[in-house]
Amino acid sequence: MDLLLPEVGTLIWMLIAVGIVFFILIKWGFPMITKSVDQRKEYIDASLEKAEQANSRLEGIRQECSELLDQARKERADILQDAAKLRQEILQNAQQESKEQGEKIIAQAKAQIEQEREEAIRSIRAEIATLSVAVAQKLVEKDLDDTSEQKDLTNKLIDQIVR
Amino acid sequence: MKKSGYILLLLLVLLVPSGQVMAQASSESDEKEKVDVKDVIFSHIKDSYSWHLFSTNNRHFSIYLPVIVYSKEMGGWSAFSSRRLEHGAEYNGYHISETSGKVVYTNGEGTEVRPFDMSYTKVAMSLTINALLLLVIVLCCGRWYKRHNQPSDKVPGGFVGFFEYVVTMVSDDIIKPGVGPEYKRYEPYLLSVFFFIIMSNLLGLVPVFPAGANVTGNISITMFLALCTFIAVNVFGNKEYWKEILWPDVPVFLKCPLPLMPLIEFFGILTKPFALMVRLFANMMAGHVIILSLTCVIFVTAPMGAAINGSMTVVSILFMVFMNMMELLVAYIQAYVFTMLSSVFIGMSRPHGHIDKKE
Repeated sequence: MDLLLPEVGTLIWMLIAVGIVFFILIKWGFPMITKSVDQRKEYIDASLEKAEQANSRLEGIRQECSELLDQARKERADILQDAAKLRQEILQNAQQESKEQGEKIIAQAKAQIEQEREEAIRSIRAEIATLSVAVAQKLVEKDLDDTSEQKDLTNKLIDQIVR
Repeated sequence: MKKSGYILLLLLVLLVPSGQVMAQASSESDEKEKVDVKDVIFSHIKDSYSWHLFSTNNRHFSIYLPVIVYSKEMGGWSAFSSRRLEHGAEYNGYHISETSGKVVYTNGEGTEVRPFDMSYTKVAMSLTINALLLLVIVLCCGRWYKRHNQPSDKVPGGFVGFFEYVVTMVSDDIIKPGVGPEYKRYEPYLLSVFFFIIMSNLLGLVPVFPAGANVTGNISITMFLALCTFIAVNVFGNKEYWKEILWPDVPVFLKCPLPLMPLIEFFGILTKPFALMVRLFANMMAGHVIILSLTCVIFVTAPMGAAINGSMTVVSILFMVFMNMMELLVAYIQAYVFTMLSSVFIGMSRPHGHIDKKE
């Protein structure tokens, strides 16, 4: 039965030993640990928040980047389009010009050819005239009696001359 | 399955011869050498003036602790070693009573009277060791935190990490939900109680010196702890707590002419710590008694022959291993329950707008 009765002596020793130990633990021991744990918890929370902020900022930057990229792409496309148009234009112009030039050259050539032909014809004519004069001279010099003979002779002479 | 069978067989083979030897020894010696189970168990779970370490054939090795008593009749204080009271010897008029096992003196009428006894007994020494061990552990862990006081420092590993894990577990699982918003104020006390109880419980399971004393299975110890909680509840209880006790939220006839409800509430104040005290005491004491009883089975069955003794030894050891596992669990659960109920009682003593909210 005395198992169930508290001992005053034990209580006193308990009060002394455990009282002192509890006092130290309550005053310094456990607060030291819990304070550190709490501080670390706060630090972790703050770090998480910071990370979250950084993440959102990064997200913003990424969006900005993609916007910029889109814009750049668009600009590039515009520029390319412009360039193509310009090229087309230049090509067209060049073609036009070359065509005109060619036509001009052809026309010149034609004119020259015409001129030369005319000149040739003129010279041929002159030659023919001189030849005919010479033929005529020869014919005159020869006995001119038969017209057919004359004709043959003329032809023969022309052949000779031309050849 | 097969493995455990082998182990059983091995145990049987090993234990049967030893049982035989014991049986022989017991048959050779006198009948009065019988094991007194009750005495063995009670001498362990009760407090004593010396700390028995071990015995060889005929010699006992003990630590004799100081006896400190005060009695007006015997001329005031006296302090001496308990060695002088061994085997019923008398010293300074004091001797250890046969019936109660306490230091007494015989007064003029021939009756045994107990003096005021504040001897440094086995339990007192054991609780001092436990408390100091706890202090050393906590302060060592605290020193780690002092050295690593930047919040960006690494998380502790090893023992400090384990200790921190337990501290945060107790704090988050027991104290915070129990006490409520003002838990910070009570946290160190509740942590101290938790760790003191679990340390004492666990050290009580270790059978060799300096552990092994039945500390938390002693009612004085649990009474002290319950008193601490009682003080924490009632001294720091706020106005609303006292209002709920003295003028609870019930129909007037239950409290006006005859203070029925206040009376019940008042008993509630006392029964709460009482329940705390008895629960821890009974659980821890019962655990010690069961393990000791199972140990005694081996020695009680020794005279009954080798076969019975051998088989009972195996059974006893299997049960003892099981009970020790169980007690490990109980050591934790009892510390947990004591802390949890303490925090709930403390939480109840600081209600916040509880009454206003209801109406």
